[in-house]
Amino acid sequence: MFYLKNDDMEELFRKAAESYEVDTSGASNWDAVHKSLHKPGDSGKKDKGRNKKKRRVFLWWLLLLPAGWIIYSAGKKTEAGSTHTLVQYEQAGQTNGNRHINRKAHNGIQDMRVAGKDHYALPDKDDTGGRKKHNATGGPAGKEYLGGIRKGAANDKTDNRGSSHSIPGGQNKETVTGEDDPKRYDGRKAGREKPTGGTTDEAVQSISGSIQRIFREDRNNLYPDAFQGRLITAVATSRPLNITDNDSAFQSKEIEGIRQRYFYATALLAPDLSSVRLQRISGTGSSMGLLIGYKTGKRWHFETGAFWERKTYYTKGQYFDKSKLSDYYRNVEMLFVDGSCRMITIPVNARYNVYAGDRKNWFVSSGVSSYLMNQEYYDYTYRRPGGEPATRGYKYTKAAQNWMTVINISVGYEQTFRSFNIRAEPYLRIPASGVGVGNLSLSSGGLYIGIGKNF
Amino acid sequence: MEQLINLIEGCTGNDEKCQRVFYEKYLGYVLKIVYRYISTYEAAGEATNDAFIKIFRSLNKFEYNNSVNVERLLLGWMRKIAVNTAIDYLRESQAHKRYQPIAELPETDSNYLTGTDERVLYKELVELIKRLSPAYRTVFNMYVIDGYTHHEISEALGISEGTSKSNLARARAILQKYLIKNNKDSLLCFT
Repeated sequence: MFYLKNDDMEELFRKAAESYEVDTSGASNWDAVHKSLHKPGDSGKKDKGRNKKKRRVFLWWLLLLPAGWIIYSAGKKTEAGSTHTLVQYEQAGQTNGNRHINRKAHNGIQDMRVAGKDHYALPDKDDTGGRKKHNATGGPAGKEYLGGIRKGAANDKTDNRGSSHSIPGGQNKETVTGEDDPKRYDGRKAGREKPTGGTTDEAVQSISGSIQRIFREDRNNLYPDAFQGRLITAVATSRPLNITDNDSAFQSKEIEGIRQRYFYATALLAPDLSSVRLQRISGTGSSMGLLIGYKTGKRWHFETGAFWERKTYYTKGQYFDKSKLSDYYRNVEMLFVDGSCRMITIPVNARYNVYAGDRKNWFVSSGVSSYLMNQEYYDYTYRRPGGEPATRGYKYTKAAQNWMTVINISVGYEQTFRSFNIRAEPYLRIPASGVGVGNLSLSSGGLYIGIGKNF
Repeated sequence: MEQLINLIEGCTGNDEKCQRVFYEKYLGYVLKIVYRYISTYEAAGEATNDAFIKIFRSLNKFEYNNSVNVERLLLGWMRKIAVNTAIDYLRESQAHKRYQPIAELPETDSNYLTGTDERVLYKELVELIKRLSPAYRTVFNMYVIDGYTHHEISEALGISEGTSKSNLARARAILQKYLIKNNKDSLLCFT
């Protein structure tokens, strides 16, 4: 038995490490080292980088210009709509509508009130003269309030809950606020001055002028000509305006207009099949995430979100860019590569409803996606200097970010139930440039199934 | 020493012949360092060649300033590059989990310890180190054999100094157990 101190043990190992012999013949590869040291400079790399950047800028403009045009158009419509008298309504099952009385239209109606020397109640004006939401409660379900005119106002004398208003001078003098307070909509309180026109006729003309201005700015044609004529006549002659069933067409337009703009969120899940340059598919991945969208009108949507994805793919060695590998692998013949990755995908899409029904939509969608790679795994099968094939696996955890480098195309079907929707959407993603360590041209496809909610 | 300086300057000037001579001369030295960190021979060979590429590319930064012992400085400088390359390789590669014993070499007298009652082959001692788990093996190699401090180890591996110390203690305990097991005939007592 002999004693060995800890320090001595370490000294033992130190000496062994320095003195042990190892066969160098299998490790020697001067050719590979020589190639790495003396290969011609790769100035093409910088050009590739510049081209990548140019492509990315181009894709951004390709997306932003139509998006900007669509937002501008939607904004114009909203501006036009703001000149109309809007009334919040509540119909059975319809909870998405919010309309506000615009100050212009409100003032026009105030003019009507003053000239008609009648009480005039506006449903959603508060004492400060500002706009506020109005719930048309109390009225029978299905009653619609629009353009300051309650349907059937001429005949309805007892509906004094909720808000309603009638054409001043009409025979129906029951104009009430939500709290039966006729004073509430006193034009003087609103800071409005009486028209300075001397005679009643002149006042009526000026009132008609206000309404005519509203109608002139009716870009969405919410008030057809026939209706406009009848309303002006009713005001001029101080007679009530009867809303008839013929007016239902533009009523539904307003209703539709109310329904169209809202946000929604949809959870989606899909199996994912990925391929490099349409080579064989080596496995099934997955994609799941949340999509957030905004509906700007009957047909157009804007969507974005985040998806957690797992992809598996295969490629022949010639399509794998070795420039990011170690010097050794850059100089060996790569036979083929099996890869997989985990990433976050951020799409930005514009969606168009080709068929837009009440509860069913068929749509097409297109946009760009960004791939944010979290982890990549590759099994490299390569030919060793001796000629025999070998396989080695590597894991890369340094995140690669490929912004706006993938083009999305999809078609889909959406079914709406109340404020929920179910969606089926086969998709295709086509790369505009390479992704990941190997700069692979990675295409993906799948079928999203999801459920969402409108807000 | 003059020969070595000329060789270094030739390599710095990108002379292919000088680089080849340099490569052949120090291949064994670098491979021995890298092979202590990386389990498999093939992976160690790849990492060794990567290390040489880094050495040649940064040889112009090696300062010897007319020092007397240029080779000693050079070996220390190359050792750092070899260790860093091996650690980087371990981080990326999944091959470190596969243990492979050192290839058999013809026995020479230098392979045997002298001055002790028990004959232990250098090769077996190094194999004991390679049997450690990667975390313990790396810390043991860096601290005991390559002379890094715990602070340097923690910075290189991205671990705390406490973890470095505990890994070292654990590595020592395991190696002691291996030594006792391998030397059943003569008891080793550790003090």
